[in-house]
Amino acid sequence: MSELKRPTLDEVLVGSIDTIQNMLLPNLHDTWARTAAGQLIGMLRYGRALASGDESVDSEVAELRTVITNLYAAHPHLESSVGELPSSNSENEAFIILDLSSNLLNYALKETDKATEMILSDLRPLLVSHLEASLAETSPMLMSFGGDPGDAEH
Amino acid sequence: MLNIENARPLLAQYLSAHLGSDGIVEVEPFERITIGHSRGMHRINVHYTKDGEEIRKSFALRAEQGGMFGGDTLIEVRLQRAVRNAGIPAARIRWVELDANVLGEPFFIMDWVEGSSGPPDMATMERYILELHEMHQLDWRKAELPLRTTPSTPLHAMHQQIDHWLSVHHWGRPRPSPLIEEAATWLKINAPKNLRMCLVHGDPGPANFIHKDGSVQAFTDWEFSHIGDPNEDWLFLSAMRGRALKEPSEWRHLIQQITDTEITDSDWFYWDIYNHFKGSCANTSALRVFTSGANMAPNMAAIGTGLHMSMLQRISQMIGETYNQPKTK
Repeated sequence: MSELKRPTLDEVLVGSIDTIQNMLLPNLHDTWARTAAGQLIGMLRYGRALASGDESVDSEVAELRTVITNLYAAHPHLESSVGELPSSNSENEAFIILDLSSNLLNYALKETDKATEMILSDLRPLLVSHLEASLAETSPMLMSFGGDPGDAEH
Repeated sequence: MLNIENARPLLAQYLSAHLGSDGIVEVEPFERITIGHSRGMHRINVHYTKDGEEIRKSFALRAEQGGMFGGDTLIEVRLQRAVRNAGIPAARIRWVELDANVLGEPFFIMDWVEGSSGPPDMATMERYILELHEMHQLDWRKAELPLRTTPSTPLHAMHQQIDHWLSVHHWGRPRPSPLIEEAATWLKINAPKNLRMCLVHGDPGPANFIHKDGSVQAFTDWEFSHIGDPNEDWLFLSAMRGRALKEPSEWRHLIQQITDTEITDSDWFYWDIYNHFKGSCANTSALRVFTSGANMAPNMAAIGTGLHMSMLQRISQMIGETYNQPKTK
């Protein structure tokens, strides 16, 4: 088993949160500074969550690619009206696939065909679920946005 | 971000030149005004002598924050001065500095308005609603307001605002956001048929006006103002800024009582989506402000991520509901 040569990132973040909460905040009396300190605790907790998770959008983009591929297979006219999928090693893959997703949602707002039904049943819920997952990660920052950091770990 | 310790001696020199003081103006430590995130707002207390006479004054300093919310100091200043000239309560702007080299960000300085921007009592709130309604009646063409864009028709005004907020979102986003693009298209397709054109404040409600002894001293935060439909303001007040004081339905009833403005359910639904769209797009800019290093304070990170996404989630829920209803195309 290898020995750690330095404190872990999580330990540094936890130490920072503890210091702000228990040493700095009790001595801060300016309202704006107290609010900022509470928000900073929320941001450090967000940092802990980010450090332990996946910071790239690769898996989300792969899921979108699969859904769009299936949409194009079922409704070939979509590809010509919305745009081609990029190659999977494209430098701008994420950007292009998200752009295609935008175009497909806009298509669904304007058309009432079977392709729209599939966009609304397969693509849109996936995009909403990605949004909700990202939003959930930010909850420590939202909880402390008013300046109240709450207790140390919740 | 404005460094208030570095800025203090620089502001002393700036004010000395503008006030024509005998010596250098003494500037007390800046007092951060704890409202709003779009601009850095500070109370500035100064004392100096002029022609041998000792003078004490207070000003409000409003500084940009690296492009937050897509604001532009010059547009805001011109409009605030124009509405004040048109008789709408707004603070007097003394000086404007667009060169970021002076303090670190463009800024302007206003006369200090005595009063509170804290939660008003209901009688004051009713007075505010009446004055906001009166502002909506202003003949904005005759007033020759210096606007960012001047629309030709009510629908044109609507599209201008949707495009404006989408461009603010595009400026701040790290990558495309399909649900925001969907919302922009939905808003254009579903714009109400009964749109009107008037001067819209854009960010009205508690904390964005100063009151004293039951009277409205000044409307503040003019950077979202434009020509649009008054329901934008009523929904912003009811469903967003005023939510901590009353339920939206209670605001709706109060607004109808005071102004005789009846907002239909479908208009209410539309403007609720629009204001969340506006908020979500504006909030995206905070992410760029944060990641670019212009202002790395934690409120910028929270606004640019969590607050942006919570509004977008609300929009996507509401638009999702409309897919279950028959299309009217």
